[in-house]
Amino acid sequence: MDDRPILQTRNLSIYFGGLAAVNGVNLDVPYGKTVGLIGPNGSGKTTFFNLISGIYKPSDGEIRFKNENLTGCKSHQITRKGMARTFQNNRLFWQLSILDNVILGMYTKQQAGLIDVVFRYKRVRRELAECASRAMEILRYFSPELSEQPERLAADLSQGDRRRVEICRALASDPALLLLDEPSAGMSPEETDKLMEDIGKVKERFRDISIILIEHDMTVIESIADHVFVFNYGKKIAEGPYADISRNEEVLEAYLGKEADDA
Amino acid sequence: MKKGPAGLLLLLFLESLFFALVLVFLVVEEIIPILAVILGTVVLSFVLVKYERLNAFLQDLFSHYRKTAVAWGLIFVLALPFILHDSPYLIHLLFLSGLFAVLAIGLDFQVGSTHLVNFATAADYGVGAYTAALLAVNFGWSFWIILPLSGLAAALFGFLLGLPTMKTKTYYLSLVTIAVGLIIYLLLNNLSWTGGSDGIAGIPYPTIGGFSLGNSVRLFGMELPFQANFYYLVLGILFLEFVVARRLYQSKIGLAWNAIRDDEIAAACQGIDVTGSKIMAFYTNAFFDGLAGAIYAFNVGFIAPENFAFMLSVIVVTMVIIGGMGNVTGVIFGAVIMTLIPEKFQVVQSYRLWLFALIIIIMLLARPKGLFPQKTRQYA
Amino acid sequence: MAHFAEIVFIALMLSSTYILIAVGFTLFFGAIDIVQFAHGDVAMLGAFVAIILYGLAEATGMTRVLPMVVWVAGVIFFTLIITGALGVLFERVVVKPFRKAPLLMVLVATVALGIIIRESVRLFYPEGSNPQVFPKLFPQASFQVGSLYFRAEHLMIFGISLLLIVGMMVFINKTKIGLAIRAISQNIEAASLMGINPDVTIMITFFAGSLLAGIAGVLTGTYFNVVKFDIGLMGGIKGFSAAVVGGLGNFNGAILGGLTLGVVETFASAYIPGGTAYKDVYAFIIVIFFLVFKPSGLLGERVYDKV
Repeated sequence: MDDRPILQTRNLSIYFGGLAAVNGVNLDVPYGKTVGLIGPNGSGKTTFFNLISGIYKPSDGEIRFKNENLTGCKSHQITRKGMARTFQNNRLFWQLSILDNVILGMYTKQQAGLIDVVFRYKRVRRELAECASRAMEILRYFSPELSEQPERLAADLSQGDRRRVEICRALASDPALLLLDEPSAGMSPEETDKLMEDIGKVKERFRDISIILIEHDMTVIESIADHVFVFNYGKKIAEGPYADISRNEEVLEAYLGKEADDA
Repeated sequence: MKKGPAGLLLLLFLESLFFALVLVFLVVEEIIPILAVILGTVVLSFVLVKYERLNAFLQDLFSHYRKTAVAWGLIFVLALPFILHDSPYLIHLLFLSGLFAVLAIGLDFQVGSTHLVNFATAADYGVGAYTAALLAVNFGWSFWIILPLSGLAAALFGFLLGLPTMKTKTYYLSLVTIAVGLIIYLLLNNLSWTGGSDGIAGIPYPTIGGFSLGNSVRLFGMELPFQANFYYLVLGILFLEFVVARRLYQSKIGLAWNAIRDDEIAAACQGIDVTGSKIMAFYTNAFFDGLAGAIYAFNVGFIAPENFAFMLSVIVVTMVIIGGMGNVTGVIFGAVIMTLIPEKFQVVQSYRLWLFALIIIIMLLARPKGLFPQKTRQYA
Repeated sequence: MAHFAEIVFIALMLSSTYILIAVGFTLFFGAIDIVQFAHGDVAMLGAFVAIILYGLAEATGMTRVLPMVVWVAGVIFFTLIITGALGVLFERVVVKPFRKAPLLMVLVATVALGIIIRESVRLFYPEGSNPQVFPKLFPQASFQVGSLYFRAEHLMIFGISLLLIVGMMVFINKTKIGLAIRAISQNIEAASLMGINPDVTIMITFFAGSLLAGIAGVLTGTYFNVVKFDIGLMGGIKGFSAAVVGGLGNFNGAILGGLTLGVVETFASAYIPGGTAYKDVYAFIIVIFFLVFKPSGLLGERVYDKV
């Protein structure tokens, strides 16, 4: 258990053309907690995720992960440090099986290189088999139905199943920080309940995991977030427990007329 | 599903039927029977696609007796020079098919697995061939030393080519590979130490012990023309490459390539060094191209820039697209039929390129994954 | 060694060819994010179409009966129309089916298309594998400025090309259809919601780009007096390179890129010993340099992946 925040950003900004999509954001994500990231559409939440996961390079500011300065690092380097994420519009490997997708989540844990493949293939085969069984285990834990047909192509899955596989893939690397980008988008109330259950399962199995959750569905935020950040126009305008920020004037104003469902 | 000896005999019978068909196709010279064979194959494949149960039955049969089927196939392939011992030209054709298969499997690493557009196969091949030729003619080294060196030279070239270009997007990469291919061609044509447009001549035949591969060989009581030596040589390299390719695909490297193909950004977010993976696809491809180049150089004895023109790259791309992207056996099949069929249509020799291009477009429109699409990975 | 001014003029002529082809590449890429690798061969077809139309005009006696201005204008006009139409045809057959497919498909398909075009001309056009004499469409006068000689036909075709390039700029920037093209480059779904028919707009884009390629073919034929079935391969690659150097998708970039490539190639082959044998190499080195260090080109905007 750690007192220090798992993720810190200082004055994080990125400009597209002349527009600041993320503007001077200072954020501390506490270790082992689940934090929510909310705000109207276009407020920079996903862009923020893209910045800290290395997809975009910041125009300004600093990112510290596990107290290490990772500003400007590429995605694969950041993932290797222990960060994993899902995407708003599901980025699975469509032509690969469910099992392959989850095994790829464990890429950072696999050691075998070119020399091994050519000369020491037994080692490769063994490692791959281990990854396969670990992947099956994760699938079984989160979605027994999916684990029964692990060879189904990702492209053939329903929306809900795709989400689930994406979360399994993200968890396969045993990350310290998990970024979930609108996991409940397009889900019915029943599916959303199932999702909250799943996130509960995640926290149960991965005890020390820290989660940042972008969400529009406030019921999800209310029930699982320990702490909430609110974005608007690329800036962090409020933070605190859900109870507080749901009454915050500025937050309500940002949402007024934009969201039909509040609290 | 038939199990037991009946199934086994059925499998062997069907396979032998297929081999007989291949032999007929190879040997016959009149155009009508050739067309009949091709037409028959096309009809057969449509039937297979339409009748799912028949297809499934055959697949089952094959996978049940896989070891036997593969062994029988290997015996046939090894026995071909004996069957065709009166036709050195046909054996030479098979040798060329094998050479193209080596090129095609390598290219599949990039085009098939990773969807990287690479039109520089001819350049890698040429680097391998010229390295071999220069070392042989200027230093007289043994083929067996030159072979791996050519592979390494081509791999180095592939690495240097891949290094700066792997950051670029697909469409830029296609331009770069075309441009590099053209530059290499221009350089080979104009530099004096590569022999200019005359190329390099006087490459001797390889020798094992005292035996020269340029001489006919006596095996199992039969006299085989010297082309058989090269056929077996290329088979050996092909076999090696086959094993390496299969292993690459069933490993984190192959998984990474596929991931990059499907979604580069998501791949990076799983910890894959996308640029590094792409470069690896480049130099592993280039290595085998280089080996093929060396074998080619030692087979024909003389090489010139015109052997390594842009069109060769296009032909190899066709083979991968037709055979099946990401499927090693399919790619071999694509290489073999794309080498043999045009040879059979000597009358349409000048139409060869035109037909190739037409086939590419038809295949891309009708069956973009190729005749034999990539199989889903199995984990025991 | 030729006079400096003459070299400058050669560079301008070469640059015009590259610009004309580069604009097509940039328009197509801007509109639908694809590269049409056979675009250079469309320019070659333009030259051949001009040859055929001239042959027709001569055979039917039009060249004797009508004033030169009229039949030349006719030949050029119809060359442009036909080449434009061919461009649209190719788009329908080989580009449109792959719109939703991985980029690899359309790249390979258009490379194959280029081969089919070249080989079709080589195989089916009479004496196709040999260079074809390009007709004299312009007065053959030459005149002197100081100690320099210029040919009227070069100046005229250069002028026509310039006119068309400027015309295209005006078309893209000032007309409603041009606006539609720019709209679909930004966001094809939003554009269609605004009432723009994306399919028709795409066809217009290909017509326009191929039309310019057609004039590039005429320019090449007029300048070199002969054309051959394979001039489109290099031409297309150089045109694409020019578009890339300037910034793919950026109209002004295509102009700047074409200029850069034309100038480098002309001056390098004029002043660097070893000369013309390596002229293509210089152009490609520039391209590779840009692709590696500044892939967005001289003027291009940095494109962010939509994540």
